[in-house]
Amino acid sequence: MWAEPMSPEEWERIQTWIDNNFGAGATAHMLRDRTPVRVPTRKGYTVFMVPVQWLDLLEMDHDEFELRHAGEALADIVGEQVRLSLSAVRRLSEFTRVRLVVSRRGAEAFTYGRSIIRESVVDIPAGLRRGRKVVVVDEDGHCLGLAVLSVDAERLKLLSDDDLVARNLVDIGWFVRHGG
Amino acid sequence: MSRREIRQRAKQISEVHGYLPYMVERYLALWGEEETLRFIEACERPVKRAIRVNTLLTTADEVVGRLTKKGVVLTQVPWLEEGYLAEFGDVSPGALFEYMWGYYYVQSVPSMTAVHILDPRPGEVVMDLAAAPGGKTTHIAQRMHNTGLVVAMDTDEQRIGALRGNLARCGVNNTVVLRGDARRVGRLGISPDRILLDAPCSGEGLIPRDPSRKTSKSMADIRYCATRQDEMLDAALGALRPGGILVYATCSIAPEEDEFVVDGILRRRDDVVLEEVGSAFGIPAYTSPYGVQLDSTIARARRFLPHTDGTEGFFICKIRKEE
Repeated sequence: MWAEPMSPEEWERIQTWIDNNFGAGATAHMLRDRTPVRVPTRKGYTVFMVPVQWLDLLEMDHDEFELRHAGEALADIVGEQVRLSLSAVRRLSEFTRVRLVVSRRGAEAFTYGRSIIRESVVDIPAGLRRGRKVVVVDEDGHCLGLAVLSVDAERLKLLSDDDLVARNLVDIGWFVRHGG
Repeated sequence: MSRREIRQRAKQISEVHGYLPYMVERYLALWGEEETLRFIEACERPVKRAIRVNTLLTTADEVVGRLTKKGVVLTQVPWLEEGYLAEFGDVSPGALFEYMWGYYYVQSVPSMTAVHILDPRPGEVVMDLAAAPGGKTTHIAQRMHNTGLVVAMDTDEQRIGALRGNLARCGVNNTVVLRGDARRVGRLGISPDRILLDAPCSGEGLIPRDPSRKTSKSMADIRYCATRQDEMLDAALGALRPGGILVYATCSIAPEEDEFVVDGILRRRDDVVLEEVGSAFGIPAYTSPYGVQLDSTIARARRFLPHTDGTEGFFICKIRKEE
């Protein structure tokens, strides 16, 4: 079988992780009327969101063809880790409030794979704690990627300009660096 | 010129311009000396870069406005609503935010034209049989407004990685990517409405972009490609639904990989006809290359050539499978 349906338990786990990080209903907002399927990888599996009517096709058995992608990638799952795809991060950026806004210069550095320092931060919602995943956007709201906070948002004003605020997890410069 | 004279002249020209003699021999037989020299001269000039605006994520006005402010000079391609010739100057096209946001795809005019001729419609099932790295796949998805189903196929794992990256960058979500041999496409049990077969080829049309092609491929390579193209085209037409459209394209100027392959399929199958590709670009395909008379309807296909179109060499043919 190319793709397998998700068990309710594993889907619940992923949904909880996403909603806890990016707000209640975030997963449903991304999934819309599609359904999640899992495709095994070497280290775990990838979750794709696909139209329900594709299931017959995706659940077929074909020795001569290997499924590499279907619909829209949501995340790679490796053990307990959920690694959101860039597509999913872009979708999240359209509605989540868990967004770190960076300056033009910060955006350029971030898309070169660098992390975010204090002087690049334009805005961050209050109350976010260290370890929280945040969608990184520029001042016009364009999605740049995903980062994890290195400090509580409240401590930001205590930092000097070159102190680390958020570590780069994935950024849209990947499209260039990986020859996309 | 006699065969012997052609051979002697080809040797002289190939020495001056750094080609393998067999290539120039074929050009002389195909075009004569004057046109051969115009072709060789055109191959020394850089091909103009072009972009396709990705209307899944933005509008042409937005991209034109943004890139113009950054000093990029854009000129719309007359027959391509979303296609622009683009002079980036010192700017790297892949380094701009607009590229990373998926607002445009750097793609040659002939490649965009192949999808324009395929004319995929929303809600259809479409196959792209040699899909990586995804320029035409993302264009197909764009023309389908991200609806229906695109089945994109390739064999090369690394290039499939690039294809997946481009799908994500361009916001495509109506596509399934399969790794496998397109010659076995019939075993999938899918009968698509349209198929794009931009077949793996010897790349003889890419000399303006890659001068190493002047010496890197032999006649045996061209014959090998032609055999594989025959097999892929047979398999693709077998899978296509009756009434469906297949666009066969290559980035080779070799008639052996273009007109002769299409002529072969017309001889082998009585359920396919060639449709007009249109006359907005290129020149008609050849019906008697090297003096060999082929099916006259092959003139409905088109060629892009460096010396007539200012692009790389390319061949586009539109085939309908009869009901």
